[in-house]
Amino acid sequence: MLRLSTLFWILLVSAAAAGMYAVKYRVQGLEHALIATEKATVAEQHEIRVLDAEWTYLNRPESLAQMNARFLSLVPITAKELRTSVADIPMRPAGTTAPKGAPMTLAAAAPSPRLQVVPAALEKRAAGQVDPAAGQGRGAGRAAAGYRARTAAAALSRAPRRGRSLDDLIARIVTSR
Amino acid sequence: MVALPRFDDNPCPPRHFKPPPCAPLLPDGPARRALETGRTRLVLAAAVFVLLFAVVAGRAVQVMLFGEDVAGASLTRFHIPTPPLPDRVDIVDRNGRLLATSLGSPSLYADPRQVIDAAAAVRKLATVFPGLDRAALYQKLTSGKSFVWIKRRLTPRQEAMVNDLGIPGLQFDHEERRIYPYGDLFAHVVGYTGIDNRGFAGVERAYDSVLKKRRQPLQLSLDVRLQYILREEVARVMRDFSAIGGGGIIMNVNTGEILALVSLPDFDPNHPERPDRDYPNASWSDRAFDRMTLGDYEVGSVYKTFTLAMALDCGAATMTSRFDASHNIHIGRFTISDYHGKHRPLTVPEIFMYSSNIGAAKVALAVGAERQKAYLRRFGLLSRPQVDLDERGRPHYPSDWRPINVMTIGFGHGISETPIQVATAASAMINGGILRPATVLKVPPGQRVPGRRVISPHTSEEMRKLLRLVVEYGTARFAEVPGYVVGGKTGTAEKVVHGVYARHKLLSDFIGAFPMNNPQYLIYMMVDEPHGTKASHGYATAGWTVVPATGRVIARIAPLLGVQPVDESAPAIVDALTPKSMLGKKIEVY
Repeated sequence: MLRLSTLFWILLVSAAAAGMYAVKYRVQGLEHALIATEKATVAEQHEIRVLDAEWTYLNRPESLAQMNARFLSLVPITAKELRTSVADIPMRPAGTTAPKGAPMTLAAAAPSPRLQVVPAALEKRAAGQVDPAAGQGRGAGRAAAGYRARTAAAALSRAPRRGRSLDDLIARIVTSR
Repeated sequence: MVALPRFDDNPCPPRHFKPPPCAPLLPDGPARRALETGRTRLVLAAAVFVLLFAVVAGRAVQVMLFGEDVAGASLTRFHIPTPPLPDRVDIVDRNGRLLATSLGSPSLYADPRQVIDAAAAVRKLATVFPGLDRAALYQKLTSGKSFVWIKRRLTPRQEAMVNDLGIPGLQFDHEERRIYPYGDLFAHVVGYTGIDNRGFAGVERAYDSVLKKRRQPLQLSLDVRLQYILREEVARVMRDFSAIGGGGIIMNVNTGEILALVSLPDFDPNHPERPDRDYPNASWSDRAFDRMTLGDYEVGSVYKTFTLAMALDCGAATMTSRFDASHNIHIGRFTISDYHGKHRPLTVPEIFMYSSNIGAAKVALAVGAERQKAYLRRFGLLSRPQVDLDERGRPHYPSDWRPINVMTIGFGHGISETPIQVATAASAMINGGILRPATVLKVPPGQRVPGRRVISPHTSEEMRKLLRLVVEYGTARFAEVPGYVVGGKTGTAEKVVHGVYARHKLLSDFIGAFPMNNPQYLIYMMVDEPHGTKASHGYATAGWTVVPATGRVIARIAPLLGVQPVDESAPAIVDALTPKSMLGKKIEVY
């Protein structure tokens, strides 16, 4: 005799079984996804190690020196440029400009004759002319920076694009024995 | 069971018959007992089941409410792939730059029995490896063996390309390889490893077991920038003066940290056995030899630093003592003379400034053999150098310490030292008198390094003045860098070849420190067998070779090290760094 309660229990059990099947199936799927993600993470970590080595290789001092010679022409800072305190920096009286022929403070503090990239604006100012593009009385340094930035950008745009350099790295340092 | 007679035992009761509410008739006798027993058993069984269900329910509550380690237990079923730790951890410099790292590199092999079309495989592989020996590879792939190497150590791009070819039977084997991104820059100090990842030299060897056990990168005291500058300048001196070797050390005088250590000629640790492009004539044993820690050399007049320090410290001489240097000293078959003699009595600062051998010999005699030995031992100059590298040489000195030895050792002849121990001892002379062992490991900023007092703070202060005088007025004027108050002592020794001093085989070295008003860094530089040039007027002595080079190094590294330049002509600095007896007087230039 099929009683109502029996029917209820049968339905409940099948529902529970179906539910459990679905949950287990989903968990299994999630587990696979988890393992795949973790494998991908490990692969990425390996890749990071390789890229770290590559980044270090590309930042070797000699290659930076070469690039500096090519694009920036920066020179080492000298003690003269490292003033010990703000008080050492002479102030120009407000509202005045340097008299014609007077030594430029900036030019006097200029690094050294080794610096080949002398901005035109600075030369003009040193000669007593006022460069309107450089702004009144305070633009020399900024103009110089702008000049440098422009030359660097121009040089970089001319630079040939190289392939993925990791292979250069490994080809150079890990070729077969 | 016993059939129980009941009063309502009517086989055909009316449909709505309900037995009257009265106590059922209970049987007596054996039937009753049987019933009782059955009931008791039923109760017992029920109790057992209740208990079991209670346990299950309790466990369920425990798990649900308190979690317990069920989660962990279930997760252990899945292997969570963690990045396999490299066989050796990375080595980084004091700023975290990568000096050595381990990367997996694939090697390609094949199982020829699984290769279906060998000719096609060779043709395809040749597109990836242009220099491939096709005939040899074809032979390998048709050999019928189960394993043949095709190519070791591929680049990642080649690996991807081979995978794209999709040739059956080809496999990759990943093995770890040590990579040194800076190439030959750190050859000696970081060292290198063999094919089985065992450290063969430098830090790789000295910290071999540490590198294998650690999980975090090993941070060294070295600085890539300083190392590069030092190596460049040492190489330049060697080139300019056609020397056979050279080296340099930059040390922090207050911690003993080695910031840079260069020995040339060197090698590329990525493939040490390959001949070096820069030094094609140097043999492997010469390139592998660390001149700074393993080599021992007569360092010449640099040693006068130690002679004067011990004399001032033990009271054998004061800053105003005079020693007669007007005549050469003849003792036995030896003659002690000055290179550029002043031929007059000299004060202690003058002996040091003009590097008078006669004066230093007399100062050493005043100290005496026993005290000289005791001080040298205290400075760590009579035993193996204290440095955490395995390549440690040892000093050589006469077993029989006669007066002639006392005198020659006074100006640095007849005793050989490894450069690292000279630098370590010299640090103690200027840092206030504390000797600290040299180390290649980074000392965290602000941490005080324990050391051993070897001379009094006052003696150390006097030594700073003497070293400053040498650069201001003496033999090392080319080392002056405006703003950084350099001090130092030059040394030029004739090398001993087959037991005799060779007149034209020199070893020039210099020990420099800055800023002398607050000593922080020390530079030792050495050049082996330099030859004079037109620019140096034929001189190959320290003053023309390593001294200007040290000046260039200081000019370049001081801003990097954040040393604030000062005006060295400021009265406060001049007063602090000039011996009292010489203040306000005109000092004769060397």
